[in-house]
Amino acid sequence: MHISDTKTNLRIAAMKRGREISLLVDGRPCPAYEGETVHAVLTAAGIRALRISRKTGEPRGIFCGMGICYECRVTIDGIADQRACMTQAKDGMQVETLKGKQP
Amino acid sequence: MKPGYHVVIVGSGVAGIAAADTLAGHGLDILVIDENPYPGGQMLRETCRFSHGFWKFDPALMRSKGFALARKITRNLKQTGLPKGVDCVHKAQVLGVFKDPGLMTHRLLVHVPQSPSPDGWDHGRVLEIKAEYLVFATGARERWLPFKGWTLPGVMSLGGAQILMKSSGILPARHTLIAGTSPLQTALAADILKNKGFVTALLDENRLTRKIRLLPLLRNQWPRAGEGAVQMLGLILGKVWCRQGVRVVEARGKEGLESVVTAELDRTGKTLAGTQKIYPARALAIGYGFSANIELPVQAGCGIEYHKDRGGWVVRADENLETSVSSVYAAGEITGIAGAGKSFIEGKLAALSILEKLRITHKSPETARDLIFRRTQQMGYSKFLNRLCEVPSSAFEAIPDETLICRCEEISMGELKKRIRQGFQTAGSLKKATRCGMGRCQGRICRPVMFDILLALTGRNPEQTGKSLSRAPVKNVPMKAFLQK
Repeated sequence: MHISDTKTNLRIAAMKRGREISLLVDGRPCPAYEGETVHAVLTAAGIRALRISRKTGEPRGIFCGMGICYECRVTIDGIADQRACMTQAKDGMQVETLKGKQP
Repeated sequence: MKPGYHVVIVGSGVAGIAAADTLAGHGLDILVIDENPYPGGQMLRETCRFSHGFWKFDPALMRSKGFALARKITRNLKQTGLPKGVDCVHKAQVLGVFKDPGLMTHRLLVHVPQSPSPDGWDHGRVLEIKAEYLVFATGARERWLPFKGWTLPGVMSLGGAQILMKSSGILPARHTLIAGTSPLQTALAADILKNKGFVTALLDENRLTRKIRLLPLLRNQWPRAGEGAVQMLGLILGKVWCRQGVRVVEARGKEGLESVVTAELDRTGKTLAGTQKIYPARALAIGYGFSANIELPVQAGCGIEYHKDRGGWVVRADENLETSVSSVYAAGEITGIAGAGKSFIEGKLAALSILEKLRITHKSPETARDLIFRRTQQMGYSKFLNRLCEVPSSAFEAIPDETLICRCEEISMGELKKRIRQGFQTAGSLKKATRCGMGRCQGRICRPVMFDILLALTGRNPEQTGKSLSRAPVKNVPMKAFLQK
């Protein structure tokens, strides 16, 4: 298990946010705010491993944060291979990481 | 969106916005295309949200040093609200640029969102847009020195950590370890502290003595040196532990980052045995300078040249910023990594050059001569910045065999070395022999590293090593997009 600071609130308090919404991440409800990207929501929820590499089966997560590395690919609303960092979180969005097997 | 425009600007970052702003108001049809949801590029990162007007910024987003620049830039722009005649399409990717046979126009293949979309999910569609003039303002991305475990979740780029904070107001972790070598390090540390996060340590490969030795390059830009000093002071006062001459040699963890191993460097940049230190860490933000996004200009046929002091391969452009392809201009980081100041100037300069070509009297308070002069001043900073971020070739030679170089295709240093030994010693041939650079990112992450490895291991010069070509589509696009009407 990794060092867990998921109890820590990683959302910057002073930042003005949109309305509160809820995503379903690997079947579990996950709080978010309108205007946040999916990768930000996942980071705030303490989820770092987003997918498994094809050849070596290693966990991968956010790397460049700007849409060029394609590491942060998750399945969104049933469509695979969506870059979490380039997708904006919407209310009711269903996100699947590691094909649902989150340790 | 119209089927054709007088000018199409690719990229709505600092350079793109400056170009659009300067061109606006002269009766031309202008289109700005960017793949991000909002304008601003990496520097301004969503300070200009549509809900606050195209050029305005949200003061509530003013969390970091970068925003002081954003404020300066947006204050200098003459428009508030979308300039007349400027169309903007975001979440759109330019897949390729082609010449119209027999005509003077350029044909762009662009992947745009399609909403409302028929099946509830927007795969987008691909359409063709014509342009008389093109401005490439595609910016830059970071570069890295691969190390064992750099693919672990929790290891991210300096820019990536900043984007989490700038765009979504999220800290990468409660405690972030910062490493590599880049002015972004101090900016990121300052941002984290301002946002009530903690910096475990700031580990810079460069020594202060090296930075001081490079200072004369900033002779036209003393305010920058002052800025850097103020940032450092801020970190010291914020009790951030800063170490110099240190390199990350391993990231450890099972499902994610748990600890980082560092080693000290000697004066030549080689790691010293017996100097290892382990930091527990949940987030490591690391970066080593920048590399220009030249993929689309190369596909469009623009000539490129290698300048170590400008960050490597850059687009060749004349004094008016016209590239080797007639009526195609380049502005910003793609002509040389030098930061937002130069990008701002070049965006304006490219716009003025186009207006001159069209024999339109421009309404700008500045002349091309002024801008060309100011641009030269910025090149001093470019040299400083790129020299600061230089990684010695010994560091590339020393990358352990098991370390992945190509993250997408999972190609290790050992495989690259094997093929290089077999005689695949140009960028193009090594790419084809190993598939390094042929994955999803199309080499945006690994190609600069692969190139530096080639230079280090073969001892050849950049021109001999060559560059690999870019072909359309230069960005990933789903097949469904081609099939949509």
